[in-house]
Amino acid sequence: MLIFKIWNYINGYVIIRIKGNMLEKFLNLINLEKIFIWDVQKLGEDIIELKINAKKFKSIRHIARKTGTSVVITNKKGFPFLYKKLLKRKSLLVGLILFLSIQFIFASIIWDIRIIGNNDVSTEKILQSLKESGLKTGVLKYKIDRNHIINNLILQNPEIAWAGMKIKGTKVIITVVERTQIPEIEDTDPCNIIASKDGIVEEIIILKGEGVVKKGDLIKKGQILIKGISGDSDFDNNFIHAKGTVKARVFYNKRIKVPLTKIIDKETGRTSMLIKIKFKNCEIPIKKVGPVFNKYRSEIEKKTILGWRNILGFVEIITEKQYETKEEKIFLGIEGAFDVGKDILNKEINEFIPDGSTLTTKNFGKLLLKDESVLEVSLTVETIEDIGVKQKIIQK
Amino acid sequence: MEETIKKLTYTISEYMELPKDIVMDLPKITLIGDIYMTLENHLGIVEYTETMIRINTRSGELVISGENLKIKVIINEAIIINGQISGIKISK
Repeated sequence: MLIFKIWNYINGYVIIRIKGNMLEKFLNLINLEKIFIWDVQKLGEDIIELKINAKKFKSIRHIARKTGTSVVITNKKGFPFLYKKLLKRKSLLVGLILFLSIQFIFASIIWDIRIIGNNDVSTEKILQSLKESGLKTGVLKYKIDRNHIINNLILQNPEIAWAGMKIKGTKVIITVVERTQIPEIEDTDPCNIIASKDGIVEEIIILKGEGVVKKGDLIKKGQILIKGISGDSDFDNNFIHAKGTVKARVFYNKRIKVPLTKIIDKETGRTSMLIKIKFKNCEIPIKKVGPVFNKYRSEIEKKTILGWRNILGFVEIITEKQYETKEEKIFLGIEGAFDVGKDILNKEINEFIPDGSTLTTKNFGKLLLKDESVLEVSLTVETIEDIGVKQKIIQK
Repeated sequence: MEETIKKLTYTISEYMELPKDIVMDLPKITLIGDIYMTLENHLGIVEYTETMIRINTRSGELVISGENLKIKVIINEAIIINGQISGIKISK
């Protein structure tokens, strides 16, 4: 009965000593009044000791009078009495509050910053950039803006590929992953120029090296375009750094399927309103005005309660207006579907064409698929772009 | 009359296998070793000393003898007694 003991301790209880001749009657009367007593103990011939709730103590007075017994409090126990005692000892109370507040303040300050995983970037440099974004020893734990600091760290140090932050008590652990850089081809290194895409050669300008393809050639990805070999093959070490640009016509193809019928949601004119309270991530519906719709379009309006000083900023009242909608089928026809497909493809065109290329021709095609009421719209785009990429020659 | 009702309830509870402490309002005693006793459905304490506790019940007077007997909890429905219990007797 631990919970019972704790409950009694919180409420406070008194140990009382009862002296008299009719102790059994006294106990029965208390029982009849439904007053809870416990740990009844006989001390002598006509004395018993028992425990009773501090608030209920007053109500046993008239029972004592009736039975002719005398009641004496021997001990007071529990939190309310402790509290009263504590209030008398003011310096102790002040000390306790001071101790707790100092402990709280000291526990909420960052005392140590540890950086793990850096080899090339020096710890001082990382600490410096952390300092600039507001993380240093002595900063309050709650003022740390995690995303801002991590983003700043990565932006200021391009060598860092990823960084993570973990706060453990008063310690901040920053884990850093450095980027392994691709070795760049220097101007003196021997290299070939190869194709990065399939296409047809449109223009080839050779500054250094030996051209292997000519205008109008069909080339495949990875094929050598300009060889890094000097003219005279008498020398043993005749590999050179090839230079030049190769422009080629590259084709891109994209197909999408467009249904001939289109479903649109049309408003029927009926509306209803729903009021909800949002508490952090939990939404509780409060009031609903109007009928429930199967399908609807909703307009949401948010209001924070007691936004003053942001004390209850996380509690929001959400008013949701619902407009009932109904599905309606519209037949587009082949031409209509083709137009829809064209619109979609025109929007997507920039996504699959790389930067720095010039678009030359654009062709749309349509094909009505059998069985399905679907039109396939295809787009073929032709661009001219620089497809030459340097590749290092590894000498054996 | 009272006897008849008592007999009737006994027969019914016997026939339908109902718990008799509930149907006939009889005391229920639970004893844990010889140190702890729970008594439900009591009618009040008659006498309380360190060596003997007499409690009124519907079955008669329950006399608990022992040493260092303490009433741990007393409420309307139950009494919990602990101490060194040596005997329980029902006297009519």
